[in-house]
This record gives sequence, structure tokens and C-alpha cells, in this order.
Amino acid sequence: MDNKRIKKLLIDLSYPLFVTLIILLAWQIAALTLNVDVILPSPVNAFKQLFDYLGEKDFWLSLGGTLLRSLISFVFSFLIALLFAVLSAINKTAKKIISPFAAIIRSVPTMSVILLLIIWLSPLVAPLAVAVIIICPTLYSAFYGAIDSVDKDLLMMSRVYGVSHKDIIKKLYLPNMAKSMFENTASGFSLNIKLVIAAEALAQTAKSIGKLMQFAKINYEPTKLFALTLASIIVSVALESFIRYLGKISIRWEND
Amino acid sequence: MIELKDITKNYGDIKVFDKLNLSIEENTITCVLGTSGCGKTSLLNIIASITPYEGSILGFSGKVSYIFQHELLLPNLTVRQNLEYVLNEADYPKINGILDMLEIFDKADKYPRAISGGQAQRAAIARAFLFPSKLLLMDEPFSSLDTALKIRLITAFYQIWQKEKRTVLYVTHDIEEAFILSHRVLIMDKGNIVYDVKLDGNPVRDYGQTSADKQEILKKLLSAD
Repeated sequence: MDNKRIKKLLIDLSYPLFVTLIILLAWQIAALTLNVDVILPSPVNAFKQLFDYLGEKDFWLSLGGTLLRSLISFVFSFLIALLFAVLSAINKTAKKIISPFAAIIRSVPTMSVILLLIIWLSPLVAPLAVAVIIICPTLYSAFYGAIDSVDKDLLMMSRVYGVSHKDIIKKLYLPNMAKSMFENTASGFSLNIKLVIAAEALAQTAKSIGKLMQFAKINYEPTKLFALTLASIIVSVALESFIRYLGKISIRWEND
Repeated sequence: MIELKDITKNYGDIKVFDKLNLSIEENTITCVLGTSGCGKTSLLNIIASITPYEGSILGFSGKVSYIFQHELLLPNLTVRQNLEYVLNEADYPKINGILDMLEIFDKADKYPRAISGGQAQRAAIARAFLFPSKLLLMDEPFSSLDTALKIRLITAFYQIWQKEKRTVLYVTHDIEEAFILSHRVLIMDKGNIVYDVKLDGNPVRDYGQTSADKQEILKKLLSAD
């Protein structure tokens, strides 16, 4: 990596680090001003609690369980959304049916979905189903937009020159959809983790961050609640950044 | 001979062609000259089967090469990969030679965003020539280039053309371009051919040269609406 790239990377990293520092500083000042740890623990105490969690097997099992549920539900959402987006792109009637369906699901309050699914399904399955139902319509719209945004003139050129369907998909559609796909996958996965945790907390799913949070709330241990929140944020940001990084190295033609 | 018979095309209430008849001689360069909006691009799109139409086209079926007004290169592929995108593997060895003739060999492994508009247009010209077709359609391919480069490219174009002598139908609004490169010039006005002349001699003619043909073409063009 040359000096120019290192400099650019450092500048890119400096902004989020600065914003994080400001938030932590504001939190610390608020905690010191209030000086009541059971209402607002300081970031120092929250991080201490987080480090304590890191030594507990139960925490790791819960984090693993939550991540696994997030991953499974996201893969399902991704595949279903992509399938419906492709169907909508190639068939106008399919789009006319799928679009309003997606719009209706999108407008159902998240809490209604969570509560109903907790009633209908087991605590283990409900968080998965909640995430799929909430994320799917959002991903569907994003993926349909990505397909639709592919330059129609390039498609016309490809047809004039008799390029095969396989190459049109592989070399025209997929690369030109990639940026939007990676972007929406990154933000969608983050949202997915939040939804899974919310559903886990209400469903009291065994081996989950959501259940640990619910217990911390019942036992009135806000430091633990903050520590678990920090853990969720760190995992979400790390995964989101990793997906964005994958996107960046995959879309080489924009960087070269 | 490629024959367009009773070609009719409407865009809503706007009639672009009303029973247009036109013959295009094979193995020659025919230029359609006209002002913007006279139907030049629609004519090429009809022949390339991009635009639906009424009527018939005889004496031609199959593959067509098309140099569009914009270069239309895939942004995610290098210049070389853009050419390979439309070619069979057997034609890949021809790529270097044509890129060299068009003075963009050193840009072969660059992405379109890293080359100039003129270089991208040359890549589009290379693509059209490499694609194995009998008919080459060109929609103002040199309009975005500066005069010096335009003349060099027209010369290179003609050299490449002489090897296979494909049928070329070429549209432009630039009388100078039409005069330099064509065997025959047609003037189109409101979807009709209002003037048809076979030019003396062979391309490439000198830029800025005055001739009776050119004077007549200019007169006809000015009298068209």
C-alpha cells in the first residue's frame, strides 16, 4: 500500500473515530453530571462490564446464537428479495402483484409483526421470521432498483451485438448492480441484527443477546444493558464495514 | 443491395417516416446527412432492429455492427474486455492490431472512466470493426472529436474499411465529414430523402476541399427545413 493510499485510509478513518469520541465524551459528561450509575452508567463502567462479559461462556454462546439467527434470516431475506426483484424486472404482471404486497408488509408496524410471530411461533424461530418479514420488502425494493438502474443503452448495445444472456447477466447486470447490492446488504444486515435482538428480547429466546438484555432490564442492571448494547453495536459496525470493504474490493473499476 | 421498402414509423402522433423507400449499395460508404431530429438515428435503429417499424428490409439479415452516438462501453470492463464482450474467442487475436491502428493500444487494459471521450469512441469503432458483420451502422461517430483527431481517425477508419469493404451506412449533421468519407451522400429532411448524390473519386478526400458536389450538397442542405 503506497503512502497516498495510507493517508487516504487514515483520513477516512479519522471522521468516524472523531464522531465516536464525541459521543463517548458526551456520554461520560452526562454520566458524571447525573452521577447515578443505576440510571446512566458511565462509558468506562459499561466497557468494564463488556470486558467481564468477554470472559463468560454464556455471553459468547448468546452472541453466537444471535449472530447465527441474524445470518440465517438475512440469507433467507436476501434470496427471497432477489428472486422477487428478478421476477419483477422480467415480468410486469409479477411486479404489479409483488410491489403492493411488499408495500403493505413494509407499512405493518414492526412491533405488531414481532408480537404476533411470538404468539404464533416458538421463541427460537420467531426472531428469524420477524427479521425475514421486515427486511425482505426493503431488500426487494433496493434490489429491484439496482436491476432497473442498469443502463438500458448498454443493454441495447449488447443485444445489437448478439451478446449471450449468460454474459449479459454476468458482465453487465451483476457488476453494475454490485455497488447497490453491497450497500444495501451492509445496512440491511445491521438492521437485521437489531430486529433479531428485539424479537429475542420479547420472545425470551434461549442463548441470545436479546434474552441477556431482557434479564438485565428485569434485574435493573443498566450497566449490563449498556455493555450488551455496546457489544451489538461493535458487532454490527464490524460486519457492516466488512461487507462494505468486500464491495469496495469487488468493484475495482471504480477505484483503479 | 439493401432495400428499405415502405418504411413507416410513428412515435405517438409524430410521424417520422411515411413509406420511406431507400436502396443502399453494398460494399460502399453511404452517408445520410441532415439536421437534428430529421430521422437519421431512427433510420439506423430501424435497420438494427432496435426500433419496431412497418414495412420491409430486403437483401440483409443477420449481424450488424453499430457505432452509437455515445461509445456505450461497459464501465466494469477494460477496453480489451469490452471488445471481447461482443466477440467470439477466435477473434480475440485481432484486437491488438485494430487498437494499434486506432492509436489506443496503450489503453487496452484501462477502464473506460480512465480514458478520454475520444479514446472511448475509438474503442467503440474498434468494437464495430472487429464484430463479424456485413453491415456497419454509424451514428455521428466522430462528432465529439477535435478536427485533427477526426481527420486521423477517418483516415484510419477508411484503411480498415478497405480490407473488408463492408457496407456502411453513416449518419451525421457535419457536411465536411460526409464529404470526406462517403461514396454517396443522401440528404434527409423530415423523414424523406430529398437529395441523393454519388461523389466523384474515393474517400478520404481532403478536409476543407471545395468541389461542385460539396457546393450542391450545401445548397440542398440549406434549402431543407
